[in-house]
Amino acid sequence: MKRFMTILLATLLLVAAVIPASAARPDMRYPVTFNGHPVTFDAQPTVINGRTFVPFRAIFEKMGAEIQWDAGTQMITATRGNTTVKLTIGSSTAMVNGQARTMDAAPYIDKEFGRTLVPLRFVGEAFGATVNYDSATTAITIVDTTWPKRGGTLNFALWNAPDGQFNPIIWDDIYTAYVGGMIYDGLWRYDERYIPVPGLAEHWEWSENDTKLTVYLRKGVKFHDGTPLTAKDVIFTYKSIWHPKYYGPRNVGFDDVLGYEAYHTGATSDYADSQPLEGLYSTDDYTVVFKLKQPNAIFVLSQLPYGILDSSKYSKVPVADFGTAKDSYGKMPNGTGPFMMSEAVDGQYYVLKANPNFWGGAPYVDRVIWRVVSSDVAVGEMQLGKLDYVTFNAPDMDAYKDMAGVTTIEYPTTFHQMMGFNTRSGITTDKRVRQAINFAIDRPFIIDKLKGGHGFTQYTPVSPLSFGYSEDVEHYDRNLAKANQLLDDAGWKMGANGIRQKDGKELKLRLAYPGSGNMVRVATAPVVQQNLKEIGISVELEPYDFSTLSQKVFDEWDFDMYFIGWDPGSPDPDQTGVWDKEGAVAGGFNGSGWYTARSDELLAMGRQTADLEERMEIYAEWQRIWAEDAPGYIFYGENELIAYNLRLRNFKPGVQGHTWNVEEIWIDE
Amino acid sequence: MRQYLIRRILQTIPIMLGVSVVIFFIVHSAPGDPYAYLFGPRTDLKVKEKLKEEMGLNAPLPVQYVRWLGQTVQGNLGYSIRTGKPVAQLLKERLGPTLLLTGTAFLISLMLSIPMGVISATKQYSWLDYVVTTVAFIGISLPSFFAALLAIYLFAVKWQIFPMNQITTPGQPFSMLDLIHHLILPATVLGLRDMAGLTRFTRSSLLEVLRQDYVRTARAKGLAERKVIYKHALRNALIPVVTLLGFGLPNLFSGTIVFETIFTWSGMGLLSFEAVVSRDYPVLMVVNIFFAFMVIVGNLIADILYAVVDPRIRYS
Repeated sequence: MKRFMTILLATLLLVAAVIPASAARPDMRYPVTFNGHPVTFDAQPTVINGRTFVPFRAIFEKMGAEIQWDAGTQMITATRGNTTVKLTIGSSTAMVNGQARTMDAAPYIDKEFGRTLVPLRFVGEAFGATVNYDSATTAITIVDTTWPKRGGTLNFALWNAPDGQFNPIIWDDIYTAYVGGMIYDGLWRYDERYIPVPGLAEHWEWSENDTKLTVYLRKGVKFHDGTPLTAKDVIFTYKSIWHPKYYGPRNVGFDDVLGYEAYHTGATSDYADSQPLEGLYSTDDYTVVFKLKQPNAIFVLSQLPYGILDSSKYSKVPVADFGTAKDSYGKMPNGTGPFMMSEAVDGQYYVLKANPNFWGGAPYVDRVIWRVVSSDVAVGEMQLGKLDYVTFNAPDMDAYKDMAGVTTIEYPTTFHQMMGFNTRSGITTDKRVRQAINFAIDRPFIIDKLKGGHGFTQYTPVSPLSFGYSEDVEHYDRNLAKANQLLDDAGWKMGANGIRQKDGKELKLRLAYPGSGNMVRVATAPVVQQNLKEIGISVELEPYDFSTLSQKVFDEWDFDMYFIGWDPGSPDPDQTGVWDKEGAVAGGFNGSGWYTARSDELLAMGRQTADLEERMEIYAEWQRIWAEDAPGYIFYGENELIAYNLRLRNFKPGVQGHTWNVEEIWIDE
Repeated sequence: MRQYLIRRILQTIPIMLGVSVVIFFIVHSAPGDPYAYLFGPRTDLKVKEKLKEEMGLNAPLPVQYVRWLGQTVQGNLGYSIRTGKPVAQLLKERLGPTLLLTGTAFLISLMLSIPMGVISATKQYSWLDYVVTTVAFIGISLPSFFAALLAIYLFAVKWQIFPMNQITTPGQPFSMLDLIHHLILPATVLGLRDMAGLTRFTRSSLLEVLRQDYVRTARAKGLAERKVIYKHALRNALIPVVTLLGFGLPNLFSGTIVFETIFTWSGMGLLSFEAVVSRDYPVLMVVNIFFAFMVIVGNLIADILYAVVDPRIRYS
C-alpha cells in the first residue's frame, strides 16, 4: 500500500510538472501515416456520427493509386495495378473491380477545400491495407506489407567530388548537400507543393505580435546512434552557428534574434552549448522558443532550414573545428535523416543505408549509392542502367528521348540568368541607357534558339514560382524604335561609324561574363553584343573565369554590364542582401549597386508582415520599381531536365530537390 | 660521381626556394580567394574578413610567404581550405591511385613501344613499319579526352567487358581482382597514348644507330643480325630513350586531369585541378612544389642514367 502511494505520488508530481508545458502544445489531431510515412493534406480528417472520414485523394495517392475525377457523374476512379475503385459522391456503394461494396457511410465533399472525404474503414478495404485507429492519440495508421516493393539500391551521380565533410551547418557545395541532405533533417521540409511542412518540428506558431516563435519538436525522434533528439540539440545547433568561432556560411540574417549580437560577439568558450539565451530557449525537452526584436516573415523559411546536430557529440568538438579534419562526425555523420552513412570513400563514392527508425517512416529502399561520375559518361551510365537518374543539358535530349527504360522530365526552377548594369559609375548610370539596352535584347531568340525552349520568360528577379511574382511591370519586349528614342533623349547621337557618340565619346560598354561552364550563357554574350550593335552601342566582350568575374563585379565594381546565374533557392520573394543597400557594399551581392529609399523600405515592410496578400502587394510594387529603374535584365528562368530509369517509382524531382521524398521512392523490377 | 651527386642535390635547395617563391606569388596574385567558394551568396562580410584575418590572409604577401615557408620546413603542410583535411593526408590519399594508374600505363607503354620501335626500324618501309608508324601517328594525334570516351563507349558500354569508371566497385568489400578489372581500361588507354611517342622515338633513334660505323663493322665481321641489333645497336639506341623516361618521371606523380576526371580515378591530377578551381592555396602550394621537386628529381635521375648507360659520359 505504501509502495502504491509512492508511485501514485510520483505520477501526480510528474503530471503536475508536465501540465503547464503540454498545455501550450497544440493537439495534433488525426495524424495519418501510410507505411510510417506521414500523409499531408489541406482538408482535415473529421468524425461525423462516430465515423472517421479522411481525405480521399491525399491518402489514395500516397498508397500509389492514380485518381480520376468525373465532374459530370460525380464519380471518382482510383486505379492501382489491377485494382480499380469507383466511388460516387453521396452514395455509400463503391465498386471495387466491378463488384459492389457497401461503405458504412457515403463520401462527401468538404466545402472549404473542395476535397472528397471517405469513411476510414473503406480505405483499408479498397486496396487490402491494414487500418488502425488509435482513439487515445487519434493517430490513423495504414500499413500495407505487400505494397510497394521494398529493398534494392538507388544509384545516384555526383558530377564533382563533394568536399567530404558532412556537417549540415558548414557544408556549402551542392554535392555535399545532396548526400548530406539524406542524412540530416531540419525543423521543416518541403512537400510536393513546395510548401514547408513539419519536419523535426511537429508544429510552430507565432505569438506576441509575431515576435515569439514557438517550435514544438516531434517526440520520439532519434539520431542514427539512438540518442534522442531534444530541444537541447536545436538550441545547440543554432548557438553553434552564432558562435564567434563559427567559420561557415550560415551565420546570416539572425540579427533580429534577441541576444544574438551579444552572444555572437561575447562568447569566450571554444565550445557551443545549450544554455538559454534571451532569444533562444526551451520550455521543456520538446519546445523551443525564438524571440525576435521585430516581426520577420521569412524567419522560418530562410533561417531555420538547417540540419540539427547531435549536441551530445558536437559539444566536445570546438566550434572552430566543425567541418575540418578534426570533426570526426563530419566524416561519419550522426543525423536524424532517412539514410545513414555506411561507407565513405572521398572522391569515389558514398554508400548510405536506410534508417529503419526514421521519424518519417523507414525508406522503401535499402541503400543509396552516390557515385562521383564524370558527366561526360552519363549517357552510357543511364543506358546500362547503372545510374537511376541524371540531370542533363538540352543537347543530350536526343540521347535520352529514345533510350529504352528511361524517360525524361522537365520542370521550372527558381534559378534565373540575368544581366546586371553598373549603376554606380559609367555610362549605365543613366537609366535611359539601361532601358534602351533592355528594349534592344531579343529575349525570344535567346530562349527559343540558344536555350532550345528549355527556359521560361521571367521579368523580375522574383521567381514566377513564388507567390510574390508580378508580371504587372515593364516587360521590355523588343522595340528598337523605343530603344533608339531613349538613347537619342539621353544625348547619344548616332555617329558615322554606326556607334553613338556624346561629347566626342563613343557609346562603348564592357560586358563581363563567365567564359566557361554554362555554354548557353557563354553564347548569350555575342547575341547581346549583336542586339546592341543594332541600336548603335558597341559592346566589348570580357569573358572571365568565375573567380575573376566575381572579384570584378562584387568587389571592384569594374564593369558596365555583367552576366550571372542566380538562385534565390526559396519560394519567398524577399530580395534582402541582393537588391538592397545591405548587398551594395564591397563584396556584397548587389553588384549593380542599385537600391532606392522606397525599394529598401518595401523590402523591410515585406519582411515584417506575414499577411500573404499584403506581401503580394508590397512585392508587386517593388518589382514595378525594379523593372522601371532597370538595374538588370532577366533573360529567362531555367528549366531542370532530368532523365530517370523507369524502374523508379514515386520519384518526384522538383524545385524542392531531386530526392526530397527519398524515403518514399521504391524500385519496381 | 659522388661529388657531382652531392653538388646536384645541394643545388636543388636554392632551386626549390626560388620555385616556391614564384609559385607562391603566382598563386596568391590570381584573382578571387578561397572564401568566395567556401561561403554562400549570403555570407556575412564581417565573418569573411575575420576569417581572412585569422588565417593570416590579410598580411602582406612576403610576410605570408615567410610564415608559410617556416611551417612547411617544419613539416607542417597546412590544411586544405576546401575540405578541411591536412594537405599531407590528401597527398597520401591521392598519390596511391595516381601511381597505380600512371605506373601501369608506363609499363604498358614501355613493353609495347620498344619492341614496336625495333620492329619498325629494322623493317624500315615494310608494311609492318607502316602499320606501326600509322598506329603511333593516330596515338599522338588522338586527343586523350576523345580516346578515353571512345574506349569507354566500346569496352564498357557496347561490349561491357570493363567497368566504366571508379577505382573499385562501390559498396563491395575490396578485392584485388576488382581493382585490376577497374584498372585495365584507363591504364591501357593512357599507356597507348604514351606508347605512340616512345615508339617513334625508339624507331628514329635505332635507325640513326643502325647507320653508324660500328654497326657496319659488326655486320662485316659476320655477327648474326639478331646480335647486331640487340647487343650493339639497341643498347646505344636506348640512351636517349632512357633520358626521355627520366624527364617523364614527374608525369607519373602528377597524373592526368582528363583521365582521372572521365574515369573517376581520384588522384593527383584531380586534386590539383580541384585546388586550382577553388583557389585552395595550401593544397595548390604543396602540390605545385611537389611537382616541381619531381621535375628536378627526374632531371637528376636522367643525368645519372645517362652516365650509367653511356660509359663515355663522366661527371666530375
